[in-house]
Amino acid sequence: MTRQHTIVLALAVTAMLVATGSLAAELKIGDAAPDWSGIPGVDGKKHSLADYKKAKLVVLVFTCNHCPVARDYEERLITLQKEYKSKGVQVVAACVNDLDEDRLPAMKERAAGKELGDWRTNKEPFNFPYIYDESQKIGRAYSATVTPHVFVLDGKRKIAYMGAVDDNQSLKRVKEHFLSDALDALLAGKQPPKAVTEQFGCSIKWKEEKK
Amino acid sequence: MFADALCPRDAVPTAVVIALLVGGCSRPSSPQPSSTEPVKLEVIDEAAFTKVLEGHRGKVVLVDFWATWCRPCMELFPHTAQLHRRLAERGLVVISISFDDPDERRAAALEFLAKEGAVFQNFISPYGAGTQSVEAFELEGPLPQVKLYDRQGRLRQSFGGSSGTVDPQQLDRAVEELLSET
Repeated sequence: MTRQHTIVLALAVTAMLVATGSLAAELKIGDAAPDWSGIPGVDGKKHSLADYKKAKLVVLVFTCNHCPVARDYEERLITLQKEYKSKGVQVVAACVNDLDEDRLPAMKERAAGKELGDWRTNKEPFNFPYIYDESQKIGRAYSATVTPHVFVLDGKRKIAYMGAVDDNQSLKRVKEHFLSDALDALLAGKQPPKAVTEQFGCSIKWKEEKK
Repeated sequence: MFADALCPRDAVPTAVVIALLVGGCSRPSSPQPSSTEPVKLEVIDEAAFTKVLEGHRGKVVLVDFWATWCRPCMELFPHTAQLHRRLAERGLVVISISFDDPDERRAAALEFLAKEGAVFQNFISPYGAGTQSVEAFELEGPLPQVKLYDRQGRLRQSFGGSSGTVDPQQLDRAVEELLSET
């Protein structure tokens, strides 16, 4: 193989890696939000970011079924959607995990309020879309690391907040409500008091490692 | 308390210690721990943790950050316990720090530690699963994370978190290298 061939091959491999998101740079505040379309939801429909054109703000939450931390946040997200619906905020929950218990059939049960066990006494179904991206591209595009991991998209669909919902899995220990503080600020035309916070939870289960 | 009587050197206030005898709690699948020392779990903040580290100067220290809500952590933990059994005599100190809720999940964390025969220093963050734990103990990315300190107490290597999954073989090699340093 000539040197030129090697360079061309290296460039092609790099392009492929970038296309699959493996080398996607981490998002920054103010970056254009990566788009998504045609992603199946628990409602049997395909979902796209463009579905929420009327929403002032979109809250994209990477979550899943199996993770105890993510589970503890479901009720908080349902409440948040209720409180902010009339203000023009749309919550979208996305799962990208490569685990059987985190795929669409189990997600449907979860979103319907079934199989809740004793960790969630509130048996309300999800009041927001719950979508599954088997390709994991959306997770790569947002450089999501854990469940739950939150991204707020502003009116121009730029990243306005990323990180945790609040500062503790245990509701009684929560002191800072990062996400709702960010939404309140953005709805008032201000910058979030903290635009980036430290997300915590279970690692996303990527296809190549399953850890 | 029973545990304190067994191990008076490590005695700590009973309010912050729950102790179980390891022998009766071993899972059939995990190697049978030979020790009958009690497995303990104490709350520790970042300042106290720094002092604990200082107390181990002259030894290589491995700190395993984990939680019962983190599956890969529980998969990695038997390896950590095995490192302790295998290399404690050569100067390896193993410490675990749980990011479980210190009230609600403490018993579950201790039960797991007992099953794994974790007869070393086990701690639980006072801040539970949240941003404060991550910041106070200076972690980057998701659990599990393992930090390795050399005999001079310097942080030499971190595994897991944002750098990917912890590779047990890589970890073994790093531990061996630090143990061979004088």
